[in-house]
Amino acid sequence: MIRSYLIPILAAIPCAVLAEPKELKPDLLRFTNGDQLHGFYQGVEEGGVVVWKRDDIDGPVELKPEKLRQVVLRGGRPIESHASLGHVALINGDRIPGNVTGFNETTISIETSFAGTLRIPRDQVGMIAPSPLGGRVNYHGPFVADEWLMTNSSFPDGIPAPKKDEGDVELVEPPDEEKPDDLAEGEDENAPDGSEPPRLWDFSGAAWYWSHREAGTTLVRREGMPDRAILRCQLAWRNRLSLGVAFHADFMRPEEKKDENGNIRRFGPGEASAYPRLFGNSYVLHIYSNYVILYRCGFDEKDAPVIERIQATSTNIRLAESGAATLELRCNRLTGEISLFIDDDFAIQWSEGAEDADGVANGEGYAGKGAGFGFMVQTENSPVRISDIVVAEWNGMPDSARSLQVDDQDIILLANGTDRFAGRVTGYEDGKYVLEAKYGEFRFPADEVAEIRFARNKLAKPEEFSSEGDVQIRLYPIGRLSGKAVKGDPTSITLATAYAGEVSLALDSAVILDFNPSTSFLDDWDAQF
Amino acid sequence: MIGMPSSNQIALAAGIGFLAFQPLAADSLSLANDSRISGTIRSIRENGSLVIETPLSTEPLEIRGEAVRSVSFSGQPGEFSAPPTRIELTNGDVLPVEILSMDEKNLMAESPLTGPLTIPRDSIRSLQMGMVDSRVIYSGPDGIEGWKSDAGRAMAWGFEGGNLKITGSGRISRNLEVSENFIVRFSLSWDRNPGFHFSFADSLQPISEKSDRYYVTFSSAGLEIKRESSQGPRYPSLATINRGPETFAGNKVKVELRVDRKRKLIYLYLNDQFEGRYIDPSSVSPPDGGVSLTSTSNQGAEQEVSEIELLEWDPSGERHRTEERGDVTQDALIASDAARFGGKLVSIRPSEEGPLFSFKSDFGDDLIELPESQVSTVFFAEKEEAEDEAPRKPLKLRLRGNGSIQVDTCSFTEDKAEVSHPLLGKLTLFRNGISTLERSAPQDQSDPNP
Repeated sequence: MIRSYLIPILAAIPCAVLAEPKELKPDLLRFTNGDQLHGFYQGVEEGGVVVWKRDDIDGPVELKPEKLRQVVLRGGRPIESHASLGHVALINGDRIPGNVTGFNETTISIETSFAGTLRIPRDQVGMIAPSPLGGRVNYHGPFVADEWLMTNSSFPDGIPAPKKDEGDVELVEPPDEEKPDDLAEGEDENAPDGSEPPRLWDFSGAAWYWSHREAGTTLVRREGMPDRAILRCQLAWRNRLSLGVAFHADFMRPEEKKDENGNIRRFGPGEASAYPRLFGNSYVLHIYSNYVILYRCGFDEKDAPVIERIQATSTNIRLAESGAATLELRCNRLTGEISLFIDDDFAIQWSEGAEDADGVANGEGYAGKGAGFGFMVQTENSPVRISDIVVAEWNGMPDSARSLQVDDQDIILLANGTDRFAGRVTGYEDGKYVLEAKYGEFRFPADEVAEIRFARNKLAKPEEFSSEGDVQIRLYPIGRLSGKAVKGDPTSITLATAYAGEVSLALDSAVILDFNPSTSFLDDWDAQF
Repeated sequence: MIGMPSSNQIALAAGIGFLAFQPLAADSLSLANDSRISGTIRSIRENGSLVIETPLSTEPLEIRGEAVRSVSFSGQPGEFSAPPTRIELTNGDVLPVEILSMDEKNLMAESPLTGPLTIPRDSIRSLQMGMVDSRVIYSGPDGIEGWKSDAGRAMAWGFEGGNLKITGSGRISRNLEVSENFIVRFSLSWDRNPGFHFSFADSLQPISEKSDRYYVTFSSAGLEIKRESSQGPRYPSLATINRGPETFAGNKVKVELRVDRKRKLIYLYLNDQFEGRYIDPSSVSPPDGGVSLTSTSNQGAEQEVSEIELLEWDPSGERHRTEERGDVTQDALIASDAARFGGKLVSIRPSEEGPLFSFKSDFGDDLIELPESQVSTVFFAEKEEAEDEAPRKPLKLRLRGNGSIQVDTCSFTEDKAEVSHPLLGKLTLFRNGISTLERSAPQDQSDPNP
């Protein structure tokens, strides 16, 4: 229900209403009080007022920006996305996708596909990433829900899609959907044993949320992890954290055997015993608030599920009391090395697999046989949010960036993942970055550079630039620009940015407009969203 | 007779190999099935068998190489100062050397084990520089002086036979000026069930008060590394090693802890074997430098602590040596400031600052020139056409200065060992540079002595 803060508009009031958009998923508007409204974003007017169109309301609607949380455009799908993940990261957290075309002591020029060339003061650029992670990113998201699959022990190949309302999150129909032959009266096809229908993960604003009391539904992707992989994500939680993170999963399982009564054993929600059936031959890292357990999962020669807790001399971790952390798993199937990093700090390491005659691990016996990964909350009343998921190839070098931790020098990390240089980046000429280092002058072709991190003590202070009232535009597959909304229509928006003045950007690659970006994910826990 | 091979396996010494009939002190040979024999090692044959002259036998014994677990040489160690560089050869052998120069084909070096060496460049896998002995902060014990018991408590520890010794329970401590990153090691021995705490980076506050320190505990339950913290959880456990006293031969264990306080990491070695790397989850590492020894054993149980050392430590070299090799078609140089370049190590030439490394990076027009003191690690490019890996030699000589080489054949005189090395050809080593001889491949499980 639309509350009193909406301003009913007479059809005669002029506004920048354009023709109906093409056949696309509708947009979704979320309010700070938890209300939401499907429809079509029409632009921004003076004072940041957002114009909205909906078929069952005559005329466009003007909405107060202070009451808005977020607009999700086209169900989180871009009209077109950037081909590359190359970007420039600013000190205020913005990430501008594009290619550097100019560079001097005071200014960095970036050519973008959505806003032309932007000129940014050098001291507001924290990092240039022409080829993040060496260009070997296999997945970055989530931006759309249907790239993911949800399973549980009753539906290990995929939970059937629920009834669909307009704009609802849509699940992919699993290829081998299990459908009971006959349903008893009152029995739900999604709950053939008469239990509650399976709970689903909720997708909103480039993040997945688990907000249910019960546990037991996985969220998986079947592909993406190479032999040497990084799996990284932003994790936020409330109450007790109890989350399983599966990696190098093949989701393979033998045919289920019935017991002497002809029944197939169903595992209860959240049972770790279900891991082999849900993830196949895999590893599952079970993360609690202050410790972790790594499980090896698979099946034995009799096709019985096997789950082994891997002994570690240390299982303690330190998670911030804020209820949010960055997790990074680095796993090497070839050598058996598995490392966990929390908030960019090393936490725990395991060594799996056999060793050769020299005592060097060779990965034989590594339990994870696949390329998939996934998540599952393991206990009741344990809400979590997972976002900024990156899966990339790992070069094996654990701490290349931190090896050169210097505040007064720029650092260049090459795309080969091993080479690194420190000095002063003086310019960009003929497609090459020029570095003056104590060992001499070097020129690096942009496509051989993974990251350039600028000396911290030469950067401006972020707090010098107020972000109050800013709108954040999220682009697909990477990018965020923020500024005060000046004006806009359904296809573009003009922001007054702190670093580049007024910037007009096309919204073809935009997927989310955050009007009151919440620093507390708690605000998103309202089940009504 | 223990260790006696069959008659078919005994060859007459006079007809075989390179024997010298000089009287030598007794070497000790450990064989399979806990057999042991002492005598004088005369040679190692091409088939890997050892020839040992022993008063237990009328003729020298030739023992199959796969039956030999290890040999400890009895020669007087003499003066030995390990040079700061380690050459790793393509077959995994390591030689401590002082680098002199290098050209397109060969690296010229000097080793206290061999004298001058010329090593073909394509036999080298890597160079590790800066392997100097760390500055010793404390080495002891040499008495009970300097150690204090807790206030108001009698001194329960004593000094006997070069060791700190206690019967029953008690604690002593000592304050030390310790660098930010350091190595601490000690040996612990016990007669019954050990109960021992060793604290380090300790503020030496009374135990009843909250403090910041690390400590390692050892008991029948195993070994644990813990952190005591004055903020937050008081005793977080950093590592639990499920190895009880029965797993350590001779009721003795050597413990080494390498502490990187900046990165809040602790590396554990037990009996010189790397056990693991552990992180301190606390926000700040303990800043102080005290150490304490606490026995929690029952009355009558004896424990002794010896070979206590604290040394300064630079952990960066450790990281560089274990870095990913990366592009094997290029040389790679890691500087001591952690910069890393790919390209080609053109040459090493003498200079006033010591050997000067000239490196050509793909991204610079000029050569990068660094004195050896600024170089941490060099990886050499691998051959384009990798040769078939040579079969591993069954026996390996452990050299002082943390070196090791595999040998085809070896013969010994009073002060030298003549070896045939698969990559370096004929080498003469000073016998006092060899610490042990051991197997370098998994042992055959069959009984070598039917």
